[in-house]
Amino acid sequence: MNRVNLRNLIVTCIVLLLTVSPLSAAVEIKLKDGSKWRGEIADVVELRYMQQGVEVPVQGKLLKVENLYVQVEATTAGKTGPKTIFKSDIVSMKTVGTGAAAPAGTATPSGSGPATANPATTPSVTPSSGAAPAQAAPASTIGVHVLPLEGGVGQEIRRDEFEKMLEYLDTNYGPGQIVVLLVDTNGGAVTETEAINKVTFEMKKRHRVVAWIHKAISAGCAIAAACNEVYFMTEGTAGSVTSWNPGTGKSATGEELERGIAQFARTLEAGGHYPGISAAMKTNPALLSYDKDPVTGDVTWHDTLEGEYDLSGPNDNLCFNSSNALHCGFSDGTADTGEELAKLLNLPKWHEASDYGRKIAKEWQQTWTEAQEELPLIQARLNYKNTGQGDPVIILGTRISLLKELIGWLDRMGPNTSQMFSVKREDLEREIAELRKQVADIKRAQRERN
Amino acid sequence: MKTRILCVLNSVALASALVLGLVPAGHTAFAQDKSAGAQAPATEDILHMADGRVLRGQIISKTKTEVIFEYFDTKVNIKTRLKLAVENILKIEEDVAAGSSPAAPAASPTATPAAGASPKPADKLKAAEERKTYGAARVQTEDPNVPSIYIVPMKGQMGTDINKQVYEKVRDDILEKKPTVVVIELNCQDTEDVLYPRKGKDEQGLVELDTFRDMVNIFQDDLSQFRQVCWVHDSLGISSMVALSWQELYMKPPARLGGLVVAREETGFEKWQDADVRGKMTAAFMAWVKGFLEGGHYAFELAEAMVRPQFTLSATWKGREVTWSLDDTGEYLVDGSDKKTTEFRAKDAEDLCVSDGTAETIEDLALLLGYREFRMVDSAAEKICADYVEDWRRAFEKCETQLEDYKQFLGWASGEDAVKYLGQAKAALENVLSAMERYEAVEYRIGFKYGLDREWFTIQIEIIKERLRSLKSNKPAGGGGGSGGGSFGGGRKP
Repeated sequence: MNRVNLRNLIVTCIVLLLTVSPLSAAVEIKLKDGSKWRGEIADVVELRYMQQGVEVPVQGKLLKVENLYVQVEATTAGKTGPKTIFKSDIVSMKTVGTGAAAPAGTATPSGSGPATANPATTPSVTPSSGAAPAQAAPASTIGVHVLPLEGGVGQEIRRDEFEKMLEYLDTNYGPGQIVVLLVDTNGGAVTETEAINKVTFEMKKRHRVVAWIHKAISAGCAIAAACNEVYFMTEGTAGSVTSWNPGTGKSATGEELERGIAQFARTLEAGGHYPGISAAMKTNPALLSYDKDPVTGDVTWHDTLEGEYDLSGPNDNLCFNSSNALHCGFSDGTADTGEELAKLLNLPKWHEASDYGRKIAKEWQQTWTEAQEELPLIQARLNYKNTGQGDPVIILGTRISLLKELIGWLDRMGPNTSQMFSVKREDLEREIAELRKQVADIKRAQRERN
Repeated sequence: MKTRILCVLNSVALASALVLGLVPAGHTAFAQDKSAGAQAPATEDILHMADGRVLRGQIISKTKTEVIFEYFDTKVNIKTRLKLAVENILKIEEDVAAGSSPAAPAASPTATPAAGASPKPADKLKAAEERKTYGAARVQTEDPNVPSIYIVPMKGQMGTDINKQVYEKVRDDILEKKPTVVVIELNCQDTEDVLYPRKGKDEQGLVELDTFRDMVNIFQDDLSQFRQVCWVHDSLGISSMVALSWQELYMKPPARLGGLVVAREETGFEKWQDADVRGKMTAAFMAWVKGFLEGGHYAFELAEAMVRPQFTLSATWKGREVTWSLDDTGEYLVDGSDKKTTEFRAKDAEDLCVSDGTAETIEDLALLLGYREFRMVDSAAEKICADYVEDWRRAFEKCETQLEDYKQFLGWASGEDAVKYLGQAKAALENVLSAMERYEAVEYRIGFKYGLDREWFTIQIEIIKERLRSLKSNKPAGGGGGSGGGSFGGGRKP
């Protein structure tokens, strides 16, 4: 059971066990920021507390104060009853009335209304708004944060979005978030994969990171395997992690292959998978099969073909589909819609707590697409733009501007992806210097003529 | 792997399925039941049908065109009301003592011919006509209780005529019409079109697996609330992979399901020299193909045998399940050749449970789907698909003309007329670029046939603009001058 649900269960149990104390007594509560609230049982208080990373306000009569929690009589979803809140979750607290005359409080989200999830296939998303926390979700709604990974690793997919996502969650939501990586990639750069996984491992220290696979080929599989859990779509595929050089068409061999196998095995192990999968996904001769206990479902792996179920023969590379991945336990489940995934994640419904991940992924995708279109055009324009003017100073000046434009694009790409382009910043800067010299020479010659 | 259940339905089974009433009775409001409440009547009515069936029961009502008949099946003790067209009834015997032998119908044209005797051409024609009325009854009604069928045509070249852009519009129409069942009518032989050079290679289906996955997901995700059936009229090429992503698959009697070798040939995954790279590419592409079969719950061995010629295929029945082997060890050798990929004909596909049945007409199909009567949805799909195909192909033709115009105008762009013809050349390119932006199919076809992409057009337009600016300012263009233009061709692929 995940951490979030465990806490809900504890809360529910406590609510069931506790009885409301009618006594009035002076109490003191130490808040997160070190300040203290002082008042009495039966005071009407307004407090704000964190729930699933969301700051939720509640107002009502204070019923009980214990070592770890307080109880407030609050109305939630039209029902009035005791609401238990852990002291460690309380952000602020103030008295708004005293005595029994005050009405029962109402727990309301901080936004204009409760965030509701659409029951249909369209997932409900709470839009992110800068650094401010997203709209508060109703108590029954636990949200996920989706980060789409679509395109090439080291191109459309890079560590930067992972880092931004982690920072966003830590700043605005706190630990215990569910991050869904929506994986759809044919793979890409090994170096970027390693950098991404480093962030994933950091993310996993505080959050539950889930891969939801449409297609996770090669580097995509290495990213997915690092997650806490892996889910497939029906058509999902994951594997074929062989390292190779597209320029030569050669695969890694010898020590390089061994290093690659060991590295990926560590990633698999960290994701709770059998490390022997690594070799089968890296190189043909590695064998892999397994047995499955029909009663317990326990899987026993073999780096041979002695198991009942073969996954990789002597001439095969391993790439999972949803059914065999599920059968051998590499996958934790198959889901085609958000609602289906929510069930597998033990969530009451599919609710996206914020659209931040989708937003940053989309922004970067757009930048990348624009770059793909613009860079070749700029390079072509170097040959003809403003040549119709006939003035060499204008022509050279235009070229300098175009080269600066290229440098601007490289800066927008950032250090982690600009190496995917054939042009280098140093070369461009040198060319600009050369052109400036030419302009200066022409101008000098013109001055001398005059 | 869910194993598909053996479902060999021959014509006899078809007939019995009809009279058994595979859908709950009560969809239709029939005339007053004259035998309502009657227990075991002493007499019965016997209908001799043109298709050879002899139906026993009670006639409820009769008009000039139809008979409402309550059929009683003694085997299962079920009464079913049937609406039968008078033209399909050869003879009616009324109030015959219950249980007596029916009289033979006079000179039934559908009597089974003696073994070995071939039916005369006239008989064949008659039989074919009768076949049209064989199956579930298509009714003209708006009654929502009558199951409705929505036909989605998929015909032509995969990737151009058949693509995501078209079916997004069809999806919206389906959501609006809310049919009982969506029938994807697949008729696509784009591989064969190229093998037997009736058409050029540019008409061969594109192997755009991601695009087809998105297209299939329009149906299987966005329209998952509707029952869906793929009815293969003929499929030879990458379309077969798409067909196998539906769990319910039916075929027309002459239909084929195969030609998937194109997935191997066009992606070239087995052509890599390095063994590990070849293994990686093969595993990745085959997993991709298998992902389609996963959706249809078909065995992965089918994907291997249908895509990769080196595999043979045999089948073994275990009870009512089929187990596949990629060798000849099974009971039944499906494909013994290691030189060609497996292809199924309708009959074999049905016997081997690859298809759920064989249906020649929509009436047959409806019956196999369990509908005794049905109505066709007045859908926009036919028009949407036809219009799209016509529009993009017309747009492409225009583009070809405009590319020729461009070359000609550019050739004429000198001297006094330079500005005029450069302007016209630029306009021709802008029109082509606009068509490419409007239709993915046009963009693909121009890329394939001429090796030109949007970037090339953008650059050429900018170069012409530069020349025009130069002419207007009366200064010669200096600098590099770009790639010029005026000639193109060759295409991307050999």
